[in-house]
Formats: sequence, structure tokens, C-alpha cells
Amino acid sequence: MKLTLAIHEVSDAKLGSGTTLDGGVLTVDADELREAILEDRRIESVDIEVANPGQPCRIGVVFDILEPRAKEPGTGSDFPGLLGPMAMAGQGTTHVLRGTALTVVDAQQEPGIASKMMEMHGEAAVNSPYGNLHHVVVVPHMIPGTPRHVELNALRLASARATVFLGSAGVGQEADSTEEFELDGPSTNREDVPRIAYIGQIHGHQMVVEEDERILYGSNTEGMVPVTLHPNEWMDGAVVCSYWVMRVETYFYQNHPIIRELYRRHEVGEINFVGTVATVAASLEADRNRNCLLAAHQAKWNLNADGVVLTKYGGGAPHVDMGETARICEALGMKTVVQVSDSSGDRRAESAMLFNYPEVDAIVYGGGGDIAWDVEPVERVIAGSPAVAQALAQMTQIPAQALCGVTNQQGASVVRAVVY
Amino acid sequence: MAQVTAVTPVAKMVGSNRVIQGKGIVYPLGDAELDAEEEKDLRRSIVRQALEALKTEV
Repeated sequence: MKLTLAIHEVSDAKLGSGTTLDGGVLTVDADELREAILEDRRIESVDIEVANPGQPCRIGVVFDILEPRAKEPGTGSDFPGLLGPMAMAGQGTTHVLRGTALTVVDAQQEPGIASKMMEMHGEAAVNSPYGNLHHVVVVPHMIPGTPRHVELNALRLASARATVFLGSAGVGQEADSTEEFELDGPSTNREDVPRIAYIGQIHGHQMVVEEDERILYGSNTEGMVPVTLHPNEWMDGAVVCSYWVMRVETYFYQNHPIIRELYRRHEVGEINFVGTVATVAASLEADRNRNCLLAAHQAKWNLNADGVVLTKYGGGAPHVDMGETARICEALGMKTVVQVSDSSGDRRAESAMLFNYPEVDAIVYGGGGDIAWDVEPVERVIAGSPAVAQALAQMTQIPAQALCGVTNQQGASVVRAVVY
Repeated sequence: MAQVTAVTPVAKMVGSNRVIQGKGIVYPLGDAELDAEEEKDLRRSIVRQALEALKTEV
């Protein structure tokens, strides 16, 4: 399976007449984008703005951040099962507007501990992997009285639609560069280097999914057992974030740092990247035992891995499931490395760990959960309501937990916790 | 002490010696799938188990 990314470097973004990509400048026609989003009749109106890096501006509450992308027509489906028809993601050519982000605001969400925001200038912005991107921000407003799960479904669909709409500006344009991702799969034979697999969680079921939630190829992952995915599927629209976006955004599925790094090491001949397993963390003990066991055994017997990289989705309970999966992997003779997030309120490494298996001793400790940045009030805020705008404008401190990307379970954090 | 939890690996990890399996993380002493009477039975059975555990020397 081969995926070609046609990379269009974008150095500036603005609103204007006609949606075009010209000389690295993305011009977004707000009326055209609005029309695309309003195809969904549940949405009554949409605010559209552009936020460029380095300019005092705050955005919130963030529903999700995505990279504007569109499939080259005839080579595949955009977000199959969610937006486009069901097809295998990860093949053909995908146009990428590198340097930009499509940021969707949830107008019904109040600012708070579970809410996320973006700061576009200053030290806080430097500490987010999204701080240097040109954000096209859309704020959909639903028809009053729309049930919450329907609103969320509409936000998810709007995020995919807007992403593809923007990405389409790259179709027909010559790319600045191309990136190719091709793996033959677990049958690849390289006897002298270790066979490495990735096991990634795509939801944690202590947050109950909606029936019409779309996570994996349009499914809500309820009742899901671990499934092997080609690495390209993660990066090309098979997976999007659940509504519980704790320390994950779809942008870093599209640019999955761990999958890209495993690819890079595969290409230089350091490892044999044999594939990935998508799994979910459980709410019920029986589901946890089943998922952890099956994920580990898929890596062992389907992918024949010697080593496994594991990540979690969300917070504490998924942390336990990841640790348990790693323990089983080790028992099956596979070496493991797990990524945990800094969630130690008292700044002690011990407090960040919910498992302590002597054999699971390769632990990457990323992010910066309990740091905060002092900020000045700003005049420009892109928010879903005047009340949220006012609250964000007046902030004098931004806690890391509230800022998108500071702690990122997909491996994208630019901040790292260090024990000293 | 007896600990009712849906995440027993953590309870074992921190050294709890009377661990009672709760139903789910979102409802350790309940079950949204059950009707009210059945849920009450479930809750009673978990609490009884916890009380039995408390009576047991470890």
C-alpha cells in the first residue's frame, strides 16, 4: 500500500474573494466555505476567521484541529465512512496544505478544565505544536434546540467537510514536495533488524460514546476489539478523534509522529516496521482484559513483532490499559516502550504512573501537565459566544492542560517532563 | 478497608488487599443497561461482597 502526500507549503493565509492557493498564500473565500458547511441543514450559520501565528488572538473552545487535506480526485475517498464512501484509506495521492490548520470551535462548550483553546502569540504559543500554523477557524452555530449528540455529529462532519474544502485548493497545483509512505506489511523480510509494531488507542470508553459518534471509518468503536491497521490508514482519514479530545487532535493522526518516525527508521534500515494495531481503552473489566490481550496477541501472531511502541488516548484509565497491554506484550517476548503524559499534580514522577511493572521499563514521559504561562489580555478572540469570548479575552494565565498540543498522547508534544 | 473499583489493576498496584470488582468506570456501583430494580440488585450484591471482604482477615 502506497500513500503519496503532495505537500503545498503555505506561508500565509487570509480571507478574500475566491478560494485559491497562489505562491504559498492561501486565500479563503468565507462565503464558499460557509456554503460547503451549510450543506448540513442542522447548522444554521457559521463564523469564519483566519488566525495567523504571532498575532495576539485566542481561540476557544476548540472542538478539533485538523490539517487541510484533500484526495486527488479518483485516487481515494476523503475520510471514508465519515464523509466519503467507504474505501481503504492510505492509498493514492493526498494534497496537504502544510503550515495551515482547520480549527473548529464548539460554540456550546464552556471554558473550563475539560475545554481546550489556542493562543496564537507569545510563550504559550511557542509551547504548542499548533502555535506556528495559519489557522482557518470555523464556528458553526446549530439550529436552536438541536440535541447535544446531533450538534457534536454536525461538528464532526463540518470539520471533515471544511478540511477537504480547504485541501482542495491544492488539487491541480504543482506540489512543492512529495512524501511517500509505502510498506509491504508484516511479510516484509529483513532478518537482521527488529520487527517493530505500534499499538495505539483511539478512544477511552470511560467517556461514553454517542451512537452517532464517528471515530474509526465512521464507527463509534463501541464493542470494538483491537484491529490491525496499515500505518497509512491512520494518516489518511480512517481515524479521527472522539468527542473526548483530551490531549489528542486529528491533526496528529494525519501527521502521526510515532508512525512517521517508525517509517523513517524503517527507510534507513534500522527497523522493520511491520504494522499497527488500533485499540480502545475500556470501561468494563471484561472489555479491558479482552482488549489488552487481543491487542498484544495481534502484534505477536499477526504482525510477528519483536518490539512494540504503545500510546494511550486520554487520561488515567487508558493509562492502565496501555500498561496492561505492554505487560502482556513483554510476557509474549516482545520488548515495549510506552508513552505516558505528565499528569503529576505534585510534580513527582511516581505520581504520573498508574502501573509499575518491572518489565515495562522503557517509558517516554512527555508533555507538561502542571505548568502554566502568564499572559496579557487580548482584544481579538474567536469564540462561540460573547460570554466565552469575554472569559478568554481576560485570561491572565493559561494552564498547559487547556492549551491544545502541550501534552499530546500521539507524541507531538514540544514540551518534555524531566526528572531531576 | 475494602475498595470497590472498575480498574482493579490500579487497586492491586497500590496495595489494596480487599479489592471488589465494580461494574464500570462510569458506574462502579450501577449499570446504565439495567432497569432500576435489576440495578438495585447489582448494587446490593457488590456492597454485600464488600462487607464480606471487610469481615475477612487478610
